[in-house]
Amino acid sequence: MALWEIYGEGAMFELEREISGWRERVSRKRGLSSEVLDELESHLWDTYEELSIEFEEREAFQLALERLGDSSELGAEFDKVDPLISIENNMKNLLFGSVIAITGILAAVAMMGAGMDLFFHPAEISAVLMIPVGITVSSFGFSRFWNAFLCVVGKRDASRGSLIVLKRWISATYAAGGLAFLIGLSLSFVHLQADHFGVMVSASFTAPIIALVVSEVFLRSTLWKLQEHKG
Amino acid sequence: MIKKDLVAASAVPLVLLILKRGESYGYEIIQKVKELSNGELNWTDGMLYPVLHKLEKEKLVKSIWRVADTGRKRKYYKIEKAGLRTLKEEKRQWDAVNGALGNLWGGSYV
Repeated sequence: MALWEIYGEGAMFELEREISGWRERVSRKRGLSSEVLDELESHLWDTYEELSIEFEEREAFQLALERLGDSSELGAEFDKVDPLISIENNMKNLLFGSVIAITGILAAVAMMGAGMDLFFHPAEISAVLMIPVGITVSSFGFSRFWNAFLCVVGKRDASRGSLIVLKRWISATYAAGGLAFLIGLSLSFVHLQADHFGVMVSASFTAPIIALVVSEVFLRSTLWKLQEHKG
Repeated sequence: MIKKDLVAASAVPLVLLILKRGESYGYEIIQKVKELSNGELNWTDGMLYPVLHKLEKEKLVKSIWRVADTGRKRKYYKIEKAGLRTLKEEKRQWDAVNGALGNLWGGSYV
């Protein structure tokens, strides 16, 4: 939604801000490469310039967007040209999704165990706090995995997995996990002199990070080979 | 207004023919197509870009980023030798379709 639609007609119209907003929306939705976005942006500017002679600037921009067409249809057309991009997205989704889902469940189970073992201990608070983190991680992971699986077997538009969203989501997940880990670790150090709880917490969150790095390296090398093959 | 199937089928020869006259960029290509068809061929602007990228991938055209007079960068496309060859083949096929239709419409079949 354009800013002026939110704040009303009185809001200042800034073309550059609108265009960067559009870029953000399209890239989040479709995961188009920045080069494609640069080209489409250049087209938007040209159309806007032509239309702004006749129309008021907001209207000219909206018309330019309409002329450019629906971003989903556009993305699907680009995917036909370069299916490798959607394969790349799906492979990432599959790998990240499964790694995160499994480690998320392990983390949730471990935290529940820790919470029960240390029932009256202050460290229990952080353990309990981590249960929802683990569950969230695993449910998101599974939905990613399922989505990617449907794409791979052709039951869903192969381009729906967006790399950019995935990256942001992963960062947010690990930021939350890292924070919970730090809280848990410091609590257990203070109260338990670094006993098994701290070790367990650190293992729960270090393992997926290592797994993620390994899968990323594996994926990069596979994709590199695919690109080589394609070239 | 020309229907969607025909618009899609004619996109490649139209783009290649325009590029044969000289290098151009997406916006300009669309303007030319609208102009040449008297507005009958109305593309959704964005749809041209996947076509251009496909042609580039097939090495029928080549692209280069340049800074335009406006100061903004713009991606220009240029036809390649393989593109000219494809165009010849496209012409042969369109002539065949056109010839067949022309004979039927102009002849005793109507």
